Amino acid sequence: MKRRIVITGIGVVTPLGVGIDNVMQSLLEGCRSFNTFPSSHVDHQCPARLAALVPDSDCSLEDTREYLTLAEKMLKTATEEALNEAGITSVEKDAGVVVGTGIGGIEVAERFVFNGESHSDGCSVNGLSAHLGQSLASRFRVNGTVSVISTGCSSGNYALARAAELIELGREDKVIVGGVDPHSIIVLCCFNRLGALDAEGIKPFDRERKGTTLAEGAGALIVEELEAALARGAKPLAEVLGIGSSCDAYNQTAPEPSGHQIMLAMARALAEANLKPCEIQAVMAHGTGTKANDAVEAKCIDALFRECSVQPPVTAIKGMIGHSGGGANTITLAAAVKVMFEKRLFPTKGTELLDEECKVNLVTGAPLAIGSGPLLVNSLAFGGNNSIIVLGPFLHKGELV
Amino acid sequence: MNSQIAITGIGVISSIGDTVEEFWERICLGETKVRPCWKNGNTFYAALLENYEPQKYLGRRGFKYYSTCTRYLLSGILQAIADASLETAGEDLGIVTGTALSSAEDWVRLAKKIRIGGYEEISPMESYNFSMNMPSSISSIKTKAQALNITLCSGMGAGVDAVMYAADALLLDRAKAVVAAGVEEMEAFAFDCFKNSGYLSSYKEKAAQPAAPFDVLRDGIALGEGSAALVFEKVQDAIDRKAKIYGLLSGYHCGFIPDAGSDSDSSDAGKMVCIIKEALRRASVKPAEVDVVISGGSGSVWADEIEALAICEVLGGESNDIPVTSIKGATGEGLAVSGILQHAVAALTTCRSQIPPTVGSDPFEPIAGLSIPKSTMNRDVKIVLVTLFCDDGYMFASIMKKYWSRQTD
Repeated sequence: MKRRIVITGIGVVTPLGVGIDNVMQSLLEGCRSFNTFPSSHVDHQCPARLAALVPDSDCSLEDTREYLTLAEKMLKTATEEALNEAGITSVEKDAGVVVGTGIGGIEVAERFVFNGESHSDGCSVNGLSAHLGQSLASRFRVNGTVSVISTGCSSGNYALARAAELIELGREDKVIVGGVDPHSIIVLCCFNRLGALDAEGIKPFDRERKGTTLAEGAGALIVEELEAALARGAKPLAEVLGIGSSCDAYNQTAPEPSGHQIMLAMARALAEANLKPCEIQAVMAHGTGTKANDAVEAKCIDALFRECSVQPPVTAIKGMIGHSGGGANTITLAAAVKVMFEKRLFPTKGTELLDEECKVNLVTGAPLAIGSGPLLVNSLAFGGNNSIIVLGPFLHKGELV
Repeated sequence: MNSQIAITGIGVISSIGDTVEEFWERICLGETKVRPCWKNGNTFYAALLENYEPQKYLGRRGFKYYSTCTRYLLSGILQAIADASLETAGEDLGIVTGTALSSAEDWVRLAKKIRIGGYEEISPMESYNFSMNMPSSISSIKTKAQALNITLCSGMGAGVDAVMYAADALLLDRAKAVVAAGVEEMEAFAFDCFKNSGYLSSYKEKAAQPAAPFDVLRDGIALGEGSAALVFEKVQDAIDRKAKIYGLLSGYHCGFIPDAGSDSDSSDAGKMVCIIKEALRRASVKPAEVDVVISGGSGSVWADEIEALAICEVLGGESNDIPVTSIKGATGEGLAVSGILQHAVAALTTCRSQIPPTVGSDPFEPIAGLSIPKSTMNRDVKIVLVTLFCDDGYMFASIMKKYWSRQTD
C-alpha cells in the first residue's frame, strides 16, 4: 500500500460484554459465554441450540426511530465506542462507512413470517441489510461512501479491506468500518440442517470437534489515512500492513481441500505488508470448529510457516464468543489490536485434544506472552471467500508508539 | 481516475428483454413492462419477469436448488461473459454483485418452511440460501472466478456500488477482468417493505402513470426485477485481446445524504451537484461536453426532483437542450439491476448513436424544464453522464465515453 492506513478507534459488542477493555479482560481470563437459543415455537426441534448471545441490556440505545433492529443496536453501540476512542465527536464530512454483514436484515424477514408484522415499522426498507450502513451514516452524519459488504463470515475483513482501498485510491481519508450479525432462527435451523453445529459447543481444531456455535455481535474500527489522522491529533492504535483476498470458487459451503486459494490470500497479504512469514508474531485463526474448515485452515497455516524455526502461536476467538458471522472478523480485528498492545495472546477455549491433523501451535489454557510485531488475521467464508489481513503495531519513524 | 475502464460484455435478464439486442430494441421502441400485479392481497405496479426459463440460460439441469436470485444472476453473468468472448477465468476473473434486497425473499421462503415443519422441512441443498453472498458465490463457482467475489447490499445504490468496486479492483490490479452485476427478486416481502416505506406508486387518479420519471404528476416508483451484468477490463487489456468495446467508464463519484427524505431541503440538490461535478472532474470532462444524461429518474416524488435540479444546475438550467432520459418507465425501478443497466445503456448509447426515450404519460410535463426525449433520438454521442439519486440518500455520478477504434493506434 502506498498510503499508510491506521486504526484509531475500536469498539465491540460481544456475548462476553460491551467495550473492548472488558472483553479483552474476559478473553485473557478464558471466559466463555454460551447459553441456549431463545425459546421459540418453530425451532425447538433443532438438536443443537447452544448459542452465544449478547444480553439485551448491553446494547440499549436511545434513538428517535421507534424501531431499531438488534443488528443496528449492536453496530451503533460498537461504533460509538470506536469513535469515542478515536477522539471523534462529529464525523460530519470527508468520511465513509463500510459495513460487513452476512445476514444483516434477516430479523425483518423473521418478524414478517413468524410474527406476521407486515405493517409495522420493522417491515420496511429501514430494516433491510443496506440500512445498517445507511443508519450508521445517518447517526454519525457521514456523507461519503456508504457501502454494505456481504461475503459470508469473512464480511468483516472484506469491509476493512474495502475501507483500505477507498483510502488507498484517495476517495476517503477516514472510514467507519463495521461488522455485525444478529442471532437468527432461520440460520439456526439452516446450520442444524447442514449438520454444522456442535451441540456441546465449539472446539476449534479439536479432534472431537463437530461444528461451530452460532453467536451474535458487532465490531467497529475507525480507519484513517495516517497523515490525516496525525493532523487531527489522533493516536494510531495499529496499522493495516497488508491485505490479501481470493475466492475458492469451489463449493457453496466446503473449502477447497488443497487450500490453494487460502495460501494465495495469505501470500498476497504478506507480500503487501512486505513481510516474511517468520516475522508474524501470532495468528488469529478463523477457527470455526467445523471438520473441514479447521482442517484446511490448519493445513494452510502449517504450510505458510513451515520454513520458520517455530510456528507462531495461534488462537481462535470463536472458542469464547462463538461465531457471529459478519461480526466475527471485526471483533477479531479489534481484539488483535489489543493483543498487540498487551503483548499477550488469549487462549482458545473448548479445545481439549488438538487434532493430529491440525498442525497448529494452538494456545490453550493460559494467555501467552508474545513479542511486539505483526499479526495475521484469517477469515474464510461460505463460497470460499477468503480475506487475510496483516495488522501491525503503529511505528512512527521506525519507533514503536 | 488514471485509467479508463472498458466495457466489453453486457448481459441482461429483464422484463423488457433477455438479450442485449432485444432489450435495446424494445427500449428504443418505447415499450414498457410495468403492469399491475397481485401480491399479498394488494395490487402493485411492477415490471416482473414473466417468462423466465432457467433452462434457456443454465442448461437442462443442475440448478434445482438455486434460489431465484442465483438463477437470475448466473443467467446474466454467463450472458455477459459470452458477449465479451472472455476466456479469462481463475485468478484473473472476479465478480462483484450488487443487490439491494439480497436474500430477503429466500429468508421468507426458509422461514415459511420452518414455520410449517421446523428445520427438517429445509432441504440440505437449500440450507445455505440464507447467506446473502450465495448467488454471487455460486456464480463464481460456475464461472471459476477466483480473483474476488463480492456481494454489495448497499441499498438502492447497490448496483452502482458494484460498478465502482469492480472498476477499483481493476485499478488496483486485483484482477484482469471483473464482472459487475446486479440482481433483484421482487416478491411479497419486497413489495410490503417498499409499500410501508411510502415509495411505491399507487397510480391513483392524480398520478401520471405508474413509474413516470420526471413527470410533474409522478407519485412513486414501480419495482422491477431481473439481473444485469457488465464485463470490465482495462482498456489496453481489451485492445490487446481485440475485444469489442462498448464504452469507456472514465470517472465516478458517490456520496450520501444522512436522514434522506425525513428533513430534506433544496440543499440536497447542491450535494448532488457536488457529486456530479466531481465525477466530471475525475473524467476530465466539462459540463458543456456532455451529450446526454442517463439518469436514475424513477418516478419518485422526492428523488426525481433533487436529481433534476442537480442536473439542471450542472448542465446549465432550463436553457440547455441536453437530453435527459431514464429507462425506469420501461423496466421499473430494479434497484441494483437499474444501476448496472444505466451503465449498459450509457455504453450502448455511445456505440449505437441512439438515445432511448423515457417512457411515461402522454401528455407529459417534465419537472425543472428537463429535455426528456419521448422517442428515440439518433445522434452521435461522445460523452454520457450517468446520474443516480436515491430515496435512501445514495448519490452517484459517472462518465461514460465513446470508444473510438483508432484508440488502438
